Amino acid sequence: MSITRETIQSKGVISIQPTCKGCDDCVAVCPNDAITVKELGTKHSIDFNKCVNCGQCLITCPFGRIEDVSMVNEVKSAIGDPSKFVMVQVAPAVRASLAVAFGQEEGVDAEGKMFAAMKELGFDKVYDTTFSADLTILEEGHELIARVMKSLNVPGYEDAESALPQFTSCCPGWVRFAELNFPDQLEHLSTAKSPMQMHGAVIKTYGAERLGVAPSKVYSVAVMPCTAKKFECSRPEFISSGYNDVDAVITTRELAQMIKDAGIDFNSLEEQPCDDLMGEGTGAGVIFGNTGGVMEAALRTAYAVLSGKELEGIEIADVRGEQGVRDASVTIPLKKEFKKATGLDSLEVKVAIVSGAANVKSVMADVAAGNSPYHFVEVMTCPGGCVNGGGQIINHDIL
Amino acid sequence: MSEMHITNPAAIETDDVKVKIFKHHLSSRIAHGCVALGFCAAAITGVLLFLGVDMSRGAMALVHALGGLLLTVAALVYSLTNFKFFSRFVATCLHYDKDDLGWITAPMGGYLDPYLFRNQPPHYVPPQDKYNTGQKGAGVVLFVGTLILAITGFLMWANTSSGIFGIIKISLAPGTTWLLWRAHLLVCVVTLCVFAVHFFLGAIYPVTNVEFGTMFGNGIADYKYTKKKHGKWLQTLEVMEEKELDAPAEKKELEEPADK
Amino acid sequence: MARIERTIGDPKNITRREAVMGAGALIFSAFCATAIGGFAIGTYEKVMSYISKRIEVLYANDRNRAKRRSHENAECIELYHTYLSPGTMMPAKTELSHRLCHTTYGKNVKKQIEHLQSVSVEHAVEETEAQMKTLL
Repeated sequence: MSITRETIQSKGVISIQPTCKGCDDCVAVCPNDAITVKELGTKHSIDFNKCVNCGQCLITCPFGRIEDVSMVNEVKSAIGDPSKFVMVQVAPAVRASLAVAFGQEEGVDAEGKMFAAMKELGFDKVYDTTFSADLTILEEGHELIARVMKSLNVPGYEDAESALPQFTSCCPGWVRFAELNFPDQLEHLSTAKSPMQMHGAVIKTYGAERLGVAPSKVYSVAVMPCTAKKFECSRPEFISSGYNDVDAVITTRELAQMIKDAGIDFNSLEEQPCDDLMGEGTGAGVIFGNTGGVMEAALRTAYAVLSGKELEGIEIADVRGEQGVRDASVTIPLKKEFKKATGLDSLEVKVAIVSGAANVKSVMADVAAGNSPYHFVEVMTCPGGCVNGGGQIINHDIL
Repeated sequence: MSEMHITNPAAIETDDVKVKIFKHHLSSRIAHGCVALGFCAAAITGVLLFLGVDMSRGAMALVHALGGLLLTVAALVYSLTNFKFFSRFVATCLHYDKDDLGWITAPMGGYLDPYLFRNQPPHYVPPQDKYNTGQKGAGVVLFVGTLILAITGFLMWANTSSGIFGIIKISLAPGTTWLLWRAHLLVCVVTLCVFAVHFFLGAIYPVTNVEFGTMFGNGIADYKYTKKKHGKWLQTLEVMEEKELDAPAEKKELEEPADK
Repeated sequence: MARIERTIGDPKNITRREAVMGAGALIFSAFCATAIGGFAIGTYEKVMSYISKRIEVLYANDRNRAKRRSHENAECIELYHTYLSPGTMMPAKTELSHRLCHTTYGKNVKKQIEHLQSVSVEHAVEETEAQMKTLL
């Protein structure tokens, strides 16, 4: 493990500089009370044993006195190293805020220019995490169906996980929040990895093989709207490929800085698509960056798998929105084989969406008590979803 | 400074009549004391906090907030309970005429004469009111400055984890916190500069620090000093009390409101 | 002759102009306090508007795509057909799926690390091929 990855695992990703003014704005947004508050005006520090690395404090600090550990130098030297084949993936949410760093208004989709800029930066292959978001839906969706079938005593699903509701596991802030606060309920977490980690593992096995590159030469980078992803990629268990599945994570801010450092004129770039093989993504994958997006993507596919038909209208308005806790239910008419197996005509799938990890407490209380009404719960640590992640371009506009 | 020829009969001193000028009422002096104490406490702790001193930040922040609270409450209470004195003060500070222009072009009320114009006769300075041009300007700056410091300060205090003593709690956007903080700092610098001059002239500079005893003592202003520097004000004063000095058994009280 | 000590001071009453100025100062202060305070407190909600804009970017991006459901992703289908579940598309079933796409938490992590370090990817590929023979 490189020094940075070890530092991250032992000290966390986020730290408050000693020039902290003690204004307490960060304390208000920390989902796990990880920032020490002693008295009025005292300088703050982060408790590693409570911090989930979400970076909400960082994007909130009015004076920019909070920083995250950087892996940019490692990425730059990998790009400059001719013996390394550097493959990068970019998360959906990054394109929703990148343009702001180059003088654009909020609300500009920078997808095409983003891929063009990354190719100019010298990455050997540029992929879209939307691909692995779709992969995650396929894996996690089938895991959910298996859990539900097992709960209905359908034969053939004995090997499946039992715990319902199933909770999403793509948000590393939420995974750490769960490990710290609900260590006895971890069987509810989906066993599916996050899209980033699936993509990393697939890049160094399937990808390397298809591209004719030795896996040991592959350097796998991810551009994320998230600081907790830095913690996630340095977890010791993510070595499925036989190597670090993701070698380094850089944030949207760091990507913007790299683009500026390279002297690239972002706004005048020609739009480009990402590379093939592990870059195609559907609309369901793209909305992963929004609160409710993972849930909607999962339901679009679960509906098709269980009913054999496509959900009319595609969009599921009930799971959209920005309130801290929302729920919805979708009635899925079962196709013949599921009808026979379950004895039911349709399945009423009850779901909940949590935006802002601190809001999960009431849902977890029901889970612990055994009377949660849900099958599937999506949790995102950052209010609004990854589009408002700790790694995004900072917006402190008040006018 | 040229002395004005005083024509106000109440204000003329003779061999028989000694004039005592009552400049600041007790309530004014108390309010000023509270404001001074609050301001100094807030200023000192504020500068130390701003410099990032790490020791006892909690205690210093509390003193800073309480100093600001004292300053604000004292000023507010005074303005309401002594509305007449307060109004007169405000009106004086906001009244400017050609005598003020003359004060500025003197230059600067003649204060610089002993230093920049050493071998020349002193400049002519038009007679001044209760507060001279510089004092009036300082009054306006300190009033508005402290007002903004108080508003921004209380907003930021209410935004902290526990709010103001746990009673008032608000949530500000980070951009707002930044703006309030920067405004607080900017206005603080301006008020400290003005306060430095105010403190220097009032407490240290030998020519003017006779006024220190007036404000922090019994409120009585020095007659010679007032006649020389604030002649226009002397012209407006009325008799409050007369008493005989050599015959302690007898005491006559006369109140004759002068014509305005 | 007796000497008299005369105390003089400001007139007892204030003029109308002075009263207006005093009231004006108080009203000005109150106005500043409410204006600045009102503005400051109102900005907190404004913060959320940039989040809504970013959220709409992704929903619009979704609407503009030809394929909007994960199971329509041709490259994912290819990944399953040629690698994860060779010959067909069978998510979450094979050893390769399990190894590359799934993980574990808390107390089970240590065992997971040992397993990943002791069993190679090649072995997982072989096992997957064997599994597919029985599943197909």
